[in-house]
Amino acid sequence: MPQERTNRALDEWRAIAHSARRPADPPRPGPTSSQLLSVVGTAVAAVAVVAVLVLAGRPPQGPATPSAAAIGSAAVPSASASQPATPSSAPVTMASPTNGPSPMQSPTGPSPSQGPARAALTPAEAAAVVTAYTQELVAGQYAKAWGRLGDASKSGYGSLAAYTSERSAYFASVKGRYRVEVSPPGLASIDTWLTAIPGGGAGIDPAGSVLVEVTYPLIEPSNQFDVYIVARVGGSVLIFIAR
Amino acid sequence: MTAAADGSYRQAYERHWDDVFRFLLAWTNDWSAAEDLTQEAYVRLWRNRERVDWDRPIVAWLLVTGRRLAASRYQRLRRVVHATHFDESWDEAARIRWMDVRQSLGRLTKTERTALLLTAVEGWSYAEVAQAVGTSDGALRAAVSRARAKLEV
Repeated sequence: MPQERTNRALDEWRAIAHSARRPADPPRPGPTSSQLLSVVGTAVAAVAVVAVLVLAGRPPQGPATPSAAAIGSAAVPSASASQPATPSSAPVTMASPTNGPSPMQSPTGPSPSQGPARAALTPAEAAAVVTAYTQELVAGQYAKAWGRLGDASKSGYGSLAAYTSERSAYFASVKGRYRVEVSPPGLASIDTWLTAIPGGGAGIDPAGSVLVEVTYPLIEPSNQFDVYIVARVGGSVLIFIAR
Repeated sequence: MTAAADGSYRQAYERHWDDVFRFLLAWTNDWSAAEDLTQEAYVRLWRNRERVDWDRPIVAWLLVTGRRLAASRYQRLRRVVHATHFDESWDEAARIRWMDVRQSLGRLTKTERTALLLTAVEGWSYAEVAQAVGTSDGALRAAVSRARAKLEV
């Protein structure tokens, strides 16, 4: 029995799959966060032991200052051991603007250092935009949907033709069934998803953007959702495809 | 021991990356997912490099690990991000070509697709694919027949 379609699909798959290039170096990740915590914990425990030994060996009437200095310097290595965890401390720094105006700021308005007022997108606005976009895809209005995308996402597809080809194939299986959810629990942070956008999401302000997930119940689980970052860019509300 | 494990790990990467990637590409039908899962499978191997038995074929360990990661990926590990929809080096013709193939193969189940592609294209034995997929030799043969029939419709 001739199997032309099968053989053609197999030939195409072979050509494409064999074009994959292995990255030069294998992944060699550092210790996991739990291992880091273990390292830090061990260092802290060691410092505590040193402190106890120093205090135990000192006459009770002796000044406390030298032993405190010893503890302080001993703590430095443990702090450097936790250096890879620096990103986790970043939000603390970033959170400082939310601490309210300093006593030096004028009570009548924002300080100049706060920059221009940001027209942050509301979750409802973002949900409405994504719902309209998804409805357009369901209705086969690909050019209209394309117009809602940010440049970075358009460049990810390359052209409206490529976008239409991919989305039409996908939405044929969606069969009009979808669910829009704003910032669902369990999804990674918007900063993480920004890295999935071509160009790293340059020009998108994560603080003024909203993460929206659309799930499609009729699609197989491994491929049944899209993740979008909705942002205001240059006065327009645009959709950036993160997944 | 560490140096030996490091050497074995590097060798496993250079020798089996293609097999692991193509298996996961067949299994997921998703280029980005296959890349990510292959990477994740090797990360797991790296973290277990002192514990795995390097005297046994490590490719089987990688394939089963990759398949398990794929199963849990979207249900429990949605924190994993897809970097791109395509290989960034592709031109538009290649993208459209891949989307056509993907659409065509998307009509098959994971097992049917993997069984057909790996036996017919990659030349794996039924036993090798059955072990990676976690099914029997007989079930895999039936899956290949179904896959061919579906693609001809």
